[in-house]
Amino acid sequence: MSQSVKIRDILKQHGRLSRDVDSLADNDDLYQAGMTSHASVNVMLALEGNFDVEFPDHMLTRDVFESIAAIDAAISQLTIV
Amino acid sequence: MPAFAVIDLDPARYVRHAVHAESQTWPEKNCYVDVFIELVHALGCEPLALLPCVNAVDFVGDQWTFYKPPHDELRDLFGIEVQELTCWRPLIEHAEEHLAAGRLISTEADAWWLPDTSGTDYRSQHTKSTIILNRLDRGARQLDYFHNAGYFRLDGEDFARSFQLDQAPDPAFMPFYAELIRIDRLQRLPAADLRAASRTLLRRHVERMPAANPLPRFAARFARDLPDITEQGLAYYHAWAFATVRQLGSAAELAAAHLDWLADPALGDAAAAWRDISVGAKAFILKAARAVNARRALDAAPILDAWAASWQRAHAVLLERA
Repeated sequence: MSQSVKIRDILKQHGRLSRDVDSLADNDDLYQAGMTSHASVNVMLALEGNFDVEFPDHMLTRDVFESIAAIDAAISQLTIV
Repeated sequence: MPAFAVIDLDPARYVRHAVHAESQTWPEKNCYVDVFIELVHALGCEPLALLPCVNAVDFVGDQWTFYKPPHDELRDLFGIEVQELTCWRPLIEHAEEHLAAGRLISTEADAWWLPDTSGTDYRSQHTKSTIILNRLDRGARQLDYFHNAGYFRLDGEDFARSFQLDQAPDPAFMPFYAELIRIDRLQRLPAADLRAASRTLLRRHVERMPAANPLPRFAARFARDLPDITEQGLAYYHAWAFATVRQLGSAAELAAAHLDWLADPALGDAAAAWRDISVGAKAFILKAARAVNARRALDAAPILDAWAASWQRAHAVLLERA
């Protein structure tokens, strides 16, 4: 499963979006799509668990989780060996 | 049955105030202050003037202040009068009466029936929130209302359940607390006068800031409570975080926004200090969630010490220069 498919899967489970995740483009704003601060906490935890990463403090900001593309870039940054 | 609207607004085209933009660290602050910010904004006034009160937030044991705009300041700044509504008959009858007469109603509501909360409570959790009723169409069963950071419409079953329609009489039903909002003496002060009035209020609320820095008290309580929060799990953590870190962080963001709006460079350091707390609080909610979820320890002292220093800096600047 590709990284972005896994991210979409996590958003389906934890994002509580008001739109179908499959209808979102990679750059669509997840907060505009209904993701609350509350849900973003659960998304972050699921991302860390699934990708076996830990977001450093400077990445614990709203914009890191604002789109599938932004999450994808952040995960890629953390998983580069 | 005619529709009644106090302010002519379309939920689909409603433009939020800048403090509720998605670019904010905390697009939603708390439900009560949020609806009044949007009401004042929708009336064509600047709600930032109303925010000096947030500087006085304090830690009170199991929560940070659930800050609210003082009613006397709503009246003095904008001519908006808020009084409790005596709910001696069904809420929908009060709503018809007062909206038709140009008076709005703020009321507690069950977020289970508020479709704008689809990411949290809608049809999943019974939670008390505050909304302001602006437009009612009983025939079409539609209500347009301010809630949190925006302006929305509900209808159908959500309308019926919000107003307890189509239900068998329930002797155990307790009416929600509600307030009547009069705007017949609305005043739109010139910008300079509004800033001056708000500056006067700032001095008042700076005097009401806690005598002792509240952050060390919060740090000690957090260290003591974290094992229990961890034991209770993530859902409990979310409730704890809402009552504590979120109130502090969102108040700090509003305090910074208000000080920026006053446009006095002498207050810039205080705004920066509040902003440090606001941004830090956002990251802290995520860090602490991780600790709770993984059931591991979190040494929060370095973070909370830094916030304490920021609070002290804001306090000192405001005491001297507000």
